[in-house]
Amino acid sequence: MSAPRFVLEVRDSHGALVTRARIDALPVTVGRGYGCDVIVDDPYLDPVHVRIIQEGDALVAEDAGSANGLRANGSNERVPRVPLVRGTILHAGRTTIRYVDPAEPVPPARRDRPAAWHSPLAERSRLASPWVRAGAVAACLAISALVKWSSTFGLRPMREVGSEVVAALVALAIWAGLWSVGARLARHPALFTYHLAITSLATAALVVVFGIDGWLEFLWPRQWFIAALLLTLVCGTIVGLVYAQLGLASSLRRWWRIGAAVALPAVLFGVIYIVESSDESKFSSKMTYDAELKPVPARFVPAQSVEDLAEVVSELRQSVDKDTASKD
Amino acid sequence: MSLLRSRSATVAALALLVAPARAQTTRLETSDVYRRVANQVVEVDVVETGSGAQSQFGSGFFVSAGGEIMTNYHVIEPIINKPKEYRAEWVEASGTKHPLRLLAVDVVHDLAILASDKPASGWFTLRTTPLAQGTRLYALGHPRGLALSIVEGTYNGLMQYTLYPRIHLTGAINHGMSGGPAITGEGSVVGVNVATAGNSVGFLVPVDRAVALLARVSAPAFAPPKDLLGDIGAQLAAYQAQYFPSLLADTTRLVTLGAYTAPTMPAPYFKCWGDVTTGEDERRYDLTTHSCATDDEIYLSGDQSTGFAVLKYWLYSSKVLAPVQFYSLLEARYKTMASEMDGAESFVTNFKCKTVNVRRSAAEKNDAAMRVATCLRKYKKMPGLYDMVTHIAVFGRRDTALIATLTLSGVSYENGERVTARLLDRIQ
Repeated sequence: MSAPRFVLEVRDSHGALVTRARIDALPVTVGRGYGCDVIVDDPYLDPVHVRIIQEGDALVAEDAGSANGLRANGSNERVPRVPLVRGTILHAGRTTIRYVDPAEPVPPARRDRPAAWHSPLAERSRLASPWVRAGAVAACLAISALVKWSSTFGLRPMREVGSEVVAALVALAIWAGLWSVGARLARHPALFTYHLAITSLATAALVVVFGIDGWLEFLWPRQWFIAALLLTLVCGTIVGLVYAQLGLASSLRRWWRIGAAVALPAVLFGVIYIVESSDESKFSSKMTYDAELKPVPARFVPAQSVEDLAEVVSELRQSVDKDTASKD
Repeated sequence: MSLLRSRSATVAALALLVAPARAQTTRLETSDVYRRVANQVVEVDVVETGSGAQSQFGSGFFVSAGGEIMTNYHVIEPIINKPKEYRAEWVEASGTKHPLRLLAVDVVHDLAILASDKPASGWFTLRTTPLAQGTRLYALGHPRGLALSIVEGTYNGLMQYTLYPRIHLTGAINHGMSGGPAITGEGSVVGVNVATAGNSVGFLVPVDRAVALLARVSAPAFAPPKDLLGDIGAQLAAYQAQYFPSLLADTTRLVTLGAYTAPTMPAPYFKCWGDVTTGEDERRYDLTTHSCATDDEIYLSGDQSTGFAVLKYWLYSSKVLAPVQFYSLLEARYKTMASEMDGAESFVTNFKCKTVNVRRSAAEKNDAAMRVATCLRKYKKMPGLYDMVTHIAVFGRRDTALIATLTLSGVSYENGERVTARLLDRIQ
């Protein structure tokens, strides 16, 4: 197909593209009527509003006797005729018509990443198998059910376990759904089941981490390294979760993904820290203490003597005394 | 036992003067008693300094020609804890008001003595007189802010087994009568109205405490303490030194709770009670509770009391729950049982706690161990006083465990530690 003589780019009152009409022969009519060469559905246009003709070497757009007239290049003044050169813009009714020379250059194609329309990360990972994804979700639900069962002492344990599993599934689905929707908005594939599987794995990891933490706190109460270990594992899991989700839902470069994944727990724990430290300075008559109790034969529990206890309580007293001293 | 503090201005019609069933011809007429002492009993008001509005009120009585007035600590407490916001005054029958200056308090027995610039036109002479149970007494005061009233009652002796001495008066003491005197027909003061348990069960501070307080301020070298709260703290510490050595002594009785034995009735002035919840229909575990507490406490302010002790046991057992479930139950209960204690920011700090797993000796290696969480807070303006709460869980068995809490309020650190050690030593 040979190049057109020129192109008319038609946009509506919001600037949205209506059509790009390829023009090969003259004269050309533009209007609302079905007999026009370029038909534009604008109620403020006449059936034949503009006519474009050849005059010698020049192209000219002329008002075809329209009710609302013809204007050009942003001016408010009605004009009967407008010579068309590269870049001329006509205003007819509420429509804008730009004269485009076919030789007019267009910007080079925007580079797209191969991840945009398929996800090699997803395809290469073990999660590519639907069985693995289903297994991850099932494992998470099973762990939640087990934890719920072990911590229930009510009359209907199975009912509590059942509602826990349903609640966990709903929560996982909402979280995975949000990621999928986010991915779709960023014009990426919505890999719902992948997100579900990743979220399930992370949740299962957190449940296991907290479970282990409870046991460690029971065996070695008030040890700083246990708190540090817990914080590290929780942060690590959250970082891993966000990193993996971003990998599926975006085409961010690796370092951006790591940055975002690290920023999230940092902000999260920062907020928690601020809230907690402001709570600490508030007066409260509540006592909070390490209250973990686990079914372990007493001989396996590292324990201290009554004298050691006296020493710990004496440290406690010093710390309470110091606090009041600094406040006075 | 609720204190007679009254912040409510509600005036209720009272039928206080109930004629005794058996009138005796030799008995004094109540109206004679009233007429003789009416000018010696006054209304004591606490007034908000800014607005001059009455904040709370009670009664008081003259104890010297110089205008010294005896009342309850709890009647005038705001002028101690918030001296800038409140002042005290006494009100004549005519309505004329006179300012009062605080001289001294006996916080343990709930007494205060204040001075007025206006000399007394009549006053009570304080002295201890032995009385027979059933002696007719007359309690005077301003119930609910009404005009001076007189209430007949009978002397029922010193209450037994209380931490803080109280006379039991059978007679309707009402809000607003706090700080007023309870006198014999001859007009000698037996005690100071302090509290009621309702239904004509009233309580008096024995007059010997008032005698001691008056003697203290009458001493030539006496000057009102500059640091009143520090003085109050010292009184609490001194009183506690009397009763603490006997708490949970080796002779304390033991109670059997399932597989465990534990001390009960830490001292004669404790009251103990127990309860059992069996798990047939409602629960999947059994719970036996056993509690001992001092019945009385020391009033510091409307939101802070002190000087009490509570010992509680919860025995959990279950044949139904799996061990992990049973220990989840224990964990949940251990975390929340007695994990809160009333307190006011102006008096105490926040609690701080530390947890330790304790095994008493190598001999017990195969038996139970204890998880002990000790929580401590300090009285800000009363040096050396703490609230100490010890949470104990005896664990190691798969289907039964004992949780114990010992709450010691307003104790010195050393006393708290000593009593806690005794408890830990005797739970088996």
